[in-house]
Amino acid sequence: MEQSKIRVFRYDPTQEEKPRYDHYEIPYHPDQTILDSLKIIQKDHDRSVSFRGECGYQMCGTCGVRVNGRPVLACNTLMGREMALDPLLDIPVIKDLVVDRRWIYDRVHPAKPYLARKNPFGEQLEPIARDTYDLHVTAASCIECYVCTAGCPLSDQRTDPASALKISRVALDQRDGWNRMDALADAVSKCLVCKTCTGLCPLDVRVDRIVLRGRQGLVEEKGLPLYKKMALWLLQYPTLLWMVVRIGYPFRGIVFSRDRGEFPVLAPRPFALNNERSGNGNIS
Amino acid sequence: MGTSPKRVLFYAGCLIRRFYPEIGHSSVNVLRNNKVEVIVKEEKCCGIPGLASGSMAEARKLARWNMDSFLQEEVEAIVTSCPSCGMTFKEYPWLFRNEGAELYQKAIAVSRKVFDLTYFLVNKIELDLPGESIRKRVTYHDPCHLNYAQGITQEPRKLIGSIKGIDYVEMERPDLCCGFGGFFSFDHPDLSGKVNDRLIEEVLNTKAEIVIDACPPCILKLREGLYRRQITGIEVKHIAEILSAAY
Repeated sequence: MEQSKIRVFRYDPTQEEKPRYDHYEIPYHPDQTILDSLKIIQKDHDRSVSFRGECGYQMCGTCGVRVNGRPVLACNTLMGREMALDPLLDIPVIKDLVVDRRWIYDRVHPAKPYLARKNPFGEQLEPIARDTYDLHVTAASCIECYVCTAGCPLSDQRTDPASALKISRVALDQRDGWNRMDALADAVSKCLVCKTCTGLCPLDVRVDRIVLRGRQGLVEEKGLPLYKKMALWLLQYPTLLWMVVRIGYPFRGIVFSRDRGEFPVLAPRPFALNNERSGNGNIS
Repeated sequence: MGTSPKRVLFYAGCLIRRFYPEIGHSSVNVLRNNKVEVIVKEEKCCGIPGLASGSMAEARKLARWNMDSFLQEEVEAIVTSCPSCGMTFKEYPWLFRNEGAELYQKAIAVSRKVFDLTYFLVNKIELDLPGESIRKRVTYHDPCHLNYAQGITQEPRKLIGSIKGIDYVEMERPDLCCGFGGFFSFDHPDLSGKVNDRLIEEVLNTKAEIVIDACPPCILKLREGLYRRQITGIEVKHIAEILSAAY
């Protein structure tokens, strides 16, 4: 039978000075999950291998690991012929693939991610805005597996899409009575909008849209910095925008320091075809 | 293989239009060599700077202009070589979710017609790639807005694989972010550089001479990163430029 080669991160901080990798070979079954494979390793090869994994059907959110560098849920990902299994996050390891999640909880808990109502419950049913409803439905689908957090390019900066989701959910709810704008800014301002979180989410939660809604809430509350306001205004008028860019281009070194890298060369003529059509409808 | 659209609107986007017109010409060249009639119109920004910075009103203004412009044309598809623009067009229905049925319908109509160049070439026409393009060691970077936002990973690899003579090597993590992020790289240049460094390390590990990318903003950031770290001998090219050279 074909074998699968699995390299597993091993580390017990209470007993060992540094991590090591152990190698195992188990029969390869294309319809077997990584969680199944870990259970087989634990049962047949090494009882000391530690990992989290409860329900087995992406409900508990505990079995997140990195497979060949990519964060996934072990229970909904099929095994490969060669796999390197690492802990989900670069945060303190409790043992092997089990990580200490406290830094994530520490981020969310001070923001008090529960509704602090302005008014007490009334006797009638309380209508809420469609957007608020959508926000809660989206956020409620999150199983807190932190695969998004592990995949975030800024996870080593302690940015965390899962926390952003929780904080935005209450900060943008009109029934909430607390001012959470600082916590919201902290949660959503350092985001590349790369959508890695959404692409990796095993439950297809649109984390990116919640972050964008969070940013929208901040703009409505605090406004945009002047340079962004100007840039966004200029985008409505392309001819004027490119006139400004062309005039300002020779002075780019003042704004963009040369040691930051090469600035792209402004084309002498913009891209166009001979048959380019000019104009279009006015905004209806 | 789907139906064969004959007439498409090519949307270049701000970066291709003003900084990388060669990518636009290459894209049009590939399409025309495959018997696709291409039209190009006067353009405005897709709206991603407004969308990403939370200024939805500004994004909607641009989106309405674009939707009206696109829907005036009798085209079977709107093709773009910029995944960030493509992703934004596909987000128009979300942007107009509370703006009334008429605008929402327009947004749906536009989002269904938009295709990335790589997806269009592989799935919507019968691609004919004659000749050899380059005989160099190349690698491919998955742009986040193509990979994670649109789920397109296999099409670019199929296209690169169909080029004769190419020596393709896969990065260990081709899906890493380039670190650009629009306003992010102005607000947090150091963080942007750190994210970019990780991708540059991956590129260096492959010993590739050319990094093929499908996203102009990633190309900008990769070239900037290589320049910043004084790395020479590695070119960053758009996939359309590589394909166009085969004709």
